[in-house]
Amino acid sequence: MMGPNKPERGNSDHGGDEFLDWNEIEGTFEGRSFPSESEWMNLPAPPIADDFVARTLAALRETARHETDQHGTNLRSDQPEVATEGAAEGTVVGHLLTPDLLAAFKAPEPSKDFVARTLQAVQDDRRSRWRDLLAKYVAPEPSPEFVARTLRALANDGNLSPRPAARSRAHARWGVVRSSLSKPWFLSLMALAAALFVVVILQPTTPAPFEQRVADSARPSLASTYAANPLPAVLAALESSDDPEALPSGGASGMWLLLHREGR
Amino acid sequence: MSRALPRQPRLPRRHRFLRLALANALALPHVVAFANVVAACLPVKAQAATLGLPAIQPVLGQLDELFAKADAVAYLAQFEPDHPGAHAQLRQQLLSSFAPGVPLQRTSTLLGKPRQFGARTVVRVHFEVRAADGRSDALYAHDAMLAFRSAAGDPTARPVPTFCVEVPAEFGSLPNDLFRCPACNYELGGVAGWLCVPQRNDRAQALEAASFYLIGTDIACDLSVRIEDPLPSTGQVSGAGETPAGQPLAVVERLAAALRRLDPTVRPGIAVPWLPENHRAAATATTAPATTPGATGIAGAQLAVDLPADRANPDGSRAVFHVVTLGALQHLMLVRGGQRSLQEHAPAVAALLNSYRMLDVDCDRALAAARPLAHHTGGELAGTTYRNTQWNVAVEGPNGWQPGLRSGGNLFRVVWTSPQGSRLWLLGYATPEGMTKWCRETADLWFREMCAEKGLTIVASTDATSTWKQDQGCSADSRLVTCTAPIRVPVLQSAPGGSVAAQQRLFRLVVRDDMFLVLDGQARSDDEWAQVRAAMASLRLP
Repeated sequence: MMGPNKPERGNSDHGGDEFLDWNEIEGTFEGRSFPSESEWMNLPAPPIADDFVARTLAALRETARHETDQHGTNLRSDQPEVATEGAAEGTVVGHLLTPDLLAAFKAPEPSKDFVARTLQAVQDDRRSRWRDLLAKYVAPEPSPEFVARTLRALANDGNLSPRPAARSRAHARWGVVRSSLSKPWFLSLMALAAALFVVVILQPTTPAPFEQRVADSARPSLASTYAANPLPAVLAALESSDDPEALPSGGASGMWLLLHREGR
Repeated sequence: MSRALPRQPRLPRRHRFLRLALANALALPHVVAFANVVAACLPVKAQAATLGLPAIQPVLGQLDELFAKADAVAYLAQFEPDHPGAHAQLRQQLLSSFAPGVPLQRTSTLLGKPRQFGARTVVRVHFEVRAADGRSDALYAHDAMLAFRSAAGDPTARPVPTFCVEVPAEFGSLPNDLFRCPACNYELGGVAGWLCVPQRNDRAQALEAASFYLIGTDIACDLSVRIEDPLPSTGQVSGAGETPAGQPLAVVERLAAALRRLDPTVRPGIAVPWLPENHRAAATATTAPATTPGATGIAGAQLAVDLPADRANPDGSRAVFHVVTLGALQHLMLVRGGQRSLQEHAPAVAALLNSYRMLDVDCDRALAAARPLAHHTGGELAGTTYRNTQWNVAVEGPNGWQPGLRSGGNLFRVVWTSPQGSRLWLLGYATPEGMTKWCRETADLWFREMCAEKGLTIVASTDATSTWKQDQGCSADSRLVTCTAPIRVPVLQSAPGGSVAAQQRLFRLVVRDDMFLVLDGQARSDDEWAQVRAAMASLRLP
């Protein structure tokens, strides 16, 4: 079965095999490791060979020539042309595809749900990757064997090195705390408290009333800040945009001046 | 075969009475509850009784005590606000009043008679704030309109304040809450349920302003009068889609854009033509769109801005800009409130807007713009000379420069513009509300604040003119200040015979008890700087 045309690598030192630079074990290509997901978008475009245009045009012309001489050409898809003299053994040179064969290899029309399925697959993949990453930071529930082994070790440790009374009380309390931490219900309670804390912190705050939002954006020294309606602030913004260099046309806040006079 | 039920023995008389009394006592709460439910379902037709001053005075005393303690939280907790926006502004004012280390005391005095607005009683109160140490120069006084709610049919219940907004002391009570200004050529109000609260122009940033509150709701309508400024001669455009000044559609769009700069969460709608009912018929009779001046000469537009949900309005709120123009004269009306409130009280809002009337629709356009400026500022231009008989100010502007009067919150606002784009401003600032007079310290403080607002850097100078001194030509103190300004316009090539100095600003500050005056010069050549200095020296305050 005839395969696709392989690009000619006239400048290659490896006789035309472009996969020689790919190290499957280390996951590198030409000695460079694959970039991270975020770096993909910033990668520079691959270099274009100098003869790329010429080669492409030559191939297209060859295809067109063969199409016009189709009746006189005896090409079969299962019979690759024999390599010419001087080329490396096994090299397939000048593999041409007829339009019928091109149509056979033409990419099928994407199904209607192709985009959705692909996006879903990408999301699922990302989700599973995140889950795997986060799982590294989730402390696993200690097994009963672990608890028993730890308690035995603590007991043995306590027997071997008797502590002073004060330290023994502190260690006893710490032992109580550690024993609590090992209990499943305590861990669940801590997780719930952490979740509630995160929800409260991340809960979007309700914005202030409209008049207050407008007043908060103005300087406290302006009289219009205390106008009890937002129209002066709008007019001040309008005038400022029309003539940014002119001094404010509004007045000063008497209360602000009195309270800030003499550095109070 | 049926058998008769045995008869219960008859109780003694006193026992029967006790049983009846016990049954009534047990049933009474249920009867009362049922009556309350029925009363709540019935439409309230009778208004609450007007609260008397003796009932309101103790509440004011309690508010004064909380003010003296600087306890804003407890102060605001006394209110059950009808208007969350006004309540938020009240909080802003309170917090600005309480400066650390400055204990204050306040006394309240009721002015006039209480007025009834539906279920609310509205009173006018005069507040006097003094420093607790008794220094008279810390006195701050202002008036406010307060609304109270009381339980219907229970005048003995403690009144609950629901609304408080400042009103300038110089404004008396308005008959029927009708706001009318013949000089500005309009009237608005006189609709039941709406309280009119005039605003000081320096606080309103306009020639004239007032706010109408639908008492008992969160709906308000803010009114402003302004004169559209022509674009600066520097060629700056007013915004995207430059349109001739005075086009009402462009005006409301610019207002909405300015609002969006203040609060990016708002969502402006589309400007549409609009006119009040009093002028709509004449506009439609001419078959011309309301935006283009028809036979009446006036045009109007409106634009609704949707506001996101907030603590006061979980369903979101709305602000609708309305503008009516006659040449450069603009009457702005901003209706704002919760979405649900606006729908529920749409007839009341429409009634207020339809109460608008332009007094003289055939007025000459130039006169329509000049008359409000002359009335509210008191000044006029004669060539390049500006004279203001109301404030006794006279300035001879530079020859060959284009003069112009501007509107705004200043006492007066004049600008001279040279052909090269240099400018000289003359600005007058009234004594701020709450202060009795200007002084050198407050003038310097305000000037520094304005420089900070505009990014100007004051250049320190040891020159004698940079210190305050009594000016021989003016009955006031004066000094000169030099500032450097960030360059916002391309630096022009140097004019013949001079060098470019576009980033310098020269100010002449003049302070008097009743006024703080600023001359602001910005020139682009040495010759023009000389003209600016000469104009500044020509200032006369007899």
